[in-house]
Amino acid sequence: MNKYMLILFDNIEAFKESSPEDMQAEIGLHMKWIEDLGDHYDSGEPLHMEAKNIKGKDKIVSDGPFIEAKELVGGFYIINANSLEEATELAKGCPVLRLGGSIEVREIIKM
Amino acid sequence: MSESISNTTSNMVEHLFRQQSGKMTAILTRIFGFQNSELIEDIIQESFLSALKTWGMKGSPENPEAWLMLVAKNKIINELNLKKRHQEKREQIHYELVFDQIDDLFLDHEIKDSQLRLLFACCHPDLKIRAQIMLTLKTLSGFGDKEIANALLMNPSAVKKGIYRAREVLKTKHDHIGIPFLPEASDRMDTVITIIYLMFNEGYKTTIGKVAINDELCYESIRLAKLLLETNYDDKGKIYALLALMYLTLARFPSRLNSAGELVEIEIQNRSNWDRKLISIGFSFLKKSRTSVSLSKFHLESTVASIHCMANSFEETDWNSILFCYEKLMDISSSFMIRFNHAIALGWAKGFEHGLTELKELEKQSKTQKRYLLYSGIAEMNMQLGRYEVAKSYYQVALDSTESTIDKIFISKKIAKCDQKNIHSN
Repeated sequence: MNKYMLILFDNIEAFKESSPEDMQAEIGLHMKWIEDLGDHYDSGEPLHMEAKNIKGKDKIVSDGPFIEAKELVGGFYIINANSLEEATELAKGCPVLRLGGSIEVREIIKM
Repeated sequence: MSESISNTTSNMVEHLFRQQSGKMTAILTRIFGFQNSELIEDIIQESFLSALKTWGMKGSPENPEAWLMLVAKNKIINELNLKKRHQEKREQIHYELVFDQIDDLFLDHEIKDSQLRLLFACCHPDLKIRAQIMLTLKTLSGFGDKEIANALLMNPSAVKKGIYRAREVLKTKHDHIGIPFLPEASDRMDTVITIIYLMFNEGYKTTIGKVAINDELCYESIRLAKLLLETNYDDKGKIYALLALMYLTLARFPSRLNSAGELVEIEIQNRSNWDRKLISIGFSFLKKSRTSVSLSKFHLESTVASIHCMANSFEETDWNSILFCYEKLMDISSSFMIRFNHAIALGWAKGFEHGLTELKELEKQSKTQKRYLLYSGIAEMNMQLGRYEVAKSYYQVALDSTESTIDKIFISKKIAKCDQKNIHSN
């Protein structure tokens, strides 16, 4: 089995209209998704919103996250799958999609 | 998969976020005032978003409530630091004071105190009743616009506008930062009790329109009423009476609708479905309500509810006592509902001719919106008197006076019953 990284882009706008009840329900959906993944699940890390960007050899630092991006990288999951196709199928169940977010699926290169 | 995630959903209480939102709003409003309602909403939203991201991936923490509060507190501290630097002198001093007391504000009794301050502020007499209810649900109860719209059978954008306007009014009323403990709090207690009662009624009413029983509003009203017991208001008996009324009403909730979601009249409700536990809590509150020096409408209405609960069958209902309560209620208020209920009780206690006369009188005098109820009442009295043709004609008018599907089904069945009886009596 290979490992795949699912990079999650949250649609932050979608949460603006969410009620506390909606947010709580959303957590339940995430937990359920991980549960359903079973052995396909490896790990996951959420990310804070604050970010710094460093660019080029001059190492110019700017405050992120990248502006105009309504979609922010909100975290990533590592999952186990046999192919990019299978990983993509599995990623389709992730609740971030329901609220208009997106996911980038990348295979982690084995050493 | 990791063990820590599989068994963590269980420590999240139902409606936890809603409750936490109410607590956070109370603390935050006390610190930043109604002027900063957007900031307040943002801080709460961000706290929930942090929770969503972390818990969604890692499972919820052992003590979700404390976790959320800590996140909110850190956000408040950041905000206070900003405000201390950039605000006007007077506000800087306020924020500095808050800064020193920040830990205290998160203590249980201080949170309750903040919730009470917010509740009293939301029940400002310059706001219309509906605005008071909407604002209370939004701030203290953590309901979203859509949920409020759903609960009050309104349109979400109307709710949004209504809450915005209500907040604008409150900004002008509390032009200082934070919410002070209102000196007139005791005077306003009557308004607050009434709002909670109306909120409960809304919950009770709207469930009829929606078929499925949605008792969230009712339970939220009970929670708020219990909060009032934490005040130093001198007539706690009145609050207990309100609680008794709510429990005794709620106890009979399940048997109000049949399995098809249709209304069941009290005569034929299955009393074994009444919730005995809620009834006994109701009775204990009723007992505590007797400490009051004077009888409020809540004392009388909860007594009526208790009389219904005590009767093992409809036939055993003590209508004379109920009539007595409604007579006392008429001394307090001459609202349509009280006069209507008085007439019904009079019919059952003293004879339907008497009830009918009073209902006819009410028909002449009252410009009520509740024509449907009035005509159904007149029809019912006629039916009891064996005048099925007349009863039927009134039911038909009643049918035309309601928009509610569930009411229409109820009345149609009544009309069918009139026809049936008519055949048998001819």
